[in-house]
Amino acid sequence: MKKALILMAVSGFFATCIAAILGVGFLWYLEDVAPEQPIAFSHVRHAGELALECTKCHQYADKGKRATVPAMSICAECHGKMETDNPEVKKLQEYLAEDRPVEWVKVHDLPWHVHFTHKRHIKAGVECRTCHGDVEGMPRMRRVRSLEMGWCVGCHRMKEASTDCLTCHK
Amino acid sequence: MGIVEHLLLPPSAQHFGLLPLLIFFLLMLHLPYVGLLMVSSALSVAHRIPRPGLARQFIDLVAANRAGWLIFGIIPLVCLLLLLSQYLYGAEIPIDLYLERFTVIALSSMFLLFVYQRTLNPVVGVLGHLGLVGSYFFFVSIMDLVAHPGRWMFEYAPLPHVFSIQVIVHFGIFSLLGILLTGAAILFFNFRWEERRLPDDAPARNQMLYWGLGLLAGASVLIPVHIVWDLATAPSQALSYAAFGLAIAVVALLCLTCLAAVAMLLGKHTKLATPALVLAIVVFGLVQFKGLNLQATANQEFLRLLAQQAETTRDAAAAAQAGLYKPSEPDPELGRQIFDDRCSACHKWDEKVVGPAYLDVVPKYASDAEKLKAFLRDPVKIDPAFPVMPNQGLNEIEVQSVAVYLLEELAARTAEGGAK
Repeated sequence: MKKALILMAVSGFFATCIAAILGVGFLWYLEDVAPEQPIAFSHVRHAGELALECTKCHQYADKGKRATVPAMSICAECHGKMETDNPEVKKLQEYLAEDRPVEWVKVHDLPWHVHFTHKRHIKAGVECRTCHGDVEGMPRMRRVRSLEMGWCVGCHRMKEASTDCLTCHK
Repeated sequence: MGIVEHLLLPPSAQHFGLLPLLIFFLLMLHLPYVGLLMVSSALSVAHRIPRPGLARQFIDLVAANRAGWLIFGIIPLVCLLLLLSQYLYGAEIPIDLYLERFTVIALSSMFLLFVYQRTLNPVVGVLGHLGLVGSYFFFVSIMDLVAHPGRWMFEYAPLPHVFSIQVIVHFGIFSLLGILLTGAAILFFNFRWEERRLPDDAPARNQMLYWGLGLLAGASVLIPVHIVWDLATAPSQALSYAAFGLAIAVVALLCLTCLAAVAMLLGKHTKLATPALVLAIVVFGLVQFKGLNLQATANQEFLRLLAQQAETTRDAAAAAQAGLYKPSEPDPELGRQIFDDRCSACHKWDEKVVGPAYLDVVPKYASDAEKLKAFLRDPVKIDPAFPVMPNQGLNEIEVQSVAVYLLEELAARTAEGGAK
């Protein structure tokens, strides 16, 4: 009887730990740092092998608040005639033919109360990879920085940028 | 500037398959030994005054000879220094500098414990133990930093993030693994291994038995709690399905270890000591493997880029060796190759593709090669009907070679057209 109780207590404890790991795993799965996109666009191909500059497609990165997802006409500039046998390019052409936008899943999302502008950061000499990581090595885009307040403030302090609340929170 | 930096090589793509395995095997040689040394030295120092006999038993548990110190301690430590520095060649953190500092402290502490084993001098023992704890706390914080590339560029302190909760939890796991191994080793070496088995009437026999079982059971219960905490606080960018699978396997094995310890405690025997030691070693290995898996997942893009860069360098070197590149003077053959490799993706001579047909645009440069070269160096949008040409990043000789090739080819095609 005593042995059975001890056996149950020990197994119960370890089963609880396994359940906790599965729980953490489920939360991680929901968070999904590299979501699947409607078209398997590869930054390895475009930013890596072809060495296209970031602003070639994200045209407003150095000009405005948002870097912007490229307009489909930018994709079509090259893919009207290029690599048309590629199944992912075919998907793009279907979108173009139907005249509907690709519904990209946002990877780098900031809360509504954060006022962030790309232009200021680029002007201050921050490289794209500081926040977005080594994009040219990513077959599927994923978030590699936490983008949490402590992370932002760490960089602001290091570069002696303002850490006033109103700099980022309007 | 670190000392080992001069010994590092620009990596090749194969490095990235091989290095993690080498690091894993070295860690498996070194860390169990350090874990045992850390816990057994603590137990030995604590027993030094009241029971010197027991203190001797504990410190003799590992490295009873110089070869042990050398094979499991010093040699793997120095190799790890080189391998880890090589693994993160070119990263934004001064990893080699951190590792050098750690190695100096770790080697000094090991030397002190070596002296303690010979003399049982408590002051030397305490200093050696604290040095070892401090240096491996530092080591754990370095390994933790490797899994956080987001933090690399902000590292400028002499010690990286030593007091973050995550580092403390990682060090907790490492120490508990040391305790687990020590418990299993006490049981195995003192009760099961023929050569060193304690005689039945040895005075320390009962104490060793309870220490062994207590350490084994206690650590196997505490490690899972730390592992859950570790996964919950790890950066989500470093996690993967494999990491969760390994964590579950570790907890399941620890459950078996704990049950074995409890069975031995209830039956007051040590029949399961050998399987318990094997389980403890496997658990140790899986936890190290999980750590390396987190690091590899966190750094996958960085490692992929390093591998690509290495391949490009190798291809360029091979091409140069084959005489394809003549970097001293412009060469139309080199220009033709660049055309085939890159330009032809968007251009043809007589047909508009992504870019304009060459026969439409190259003639305007026929009398002004410099203008063509300027365009190749820094392409600008000329005709609104076409997208701007991406900068191909050509070096000066390549620019000149492409210009020579295009103009020569144009002349040949014009002559051919005229002849017809």
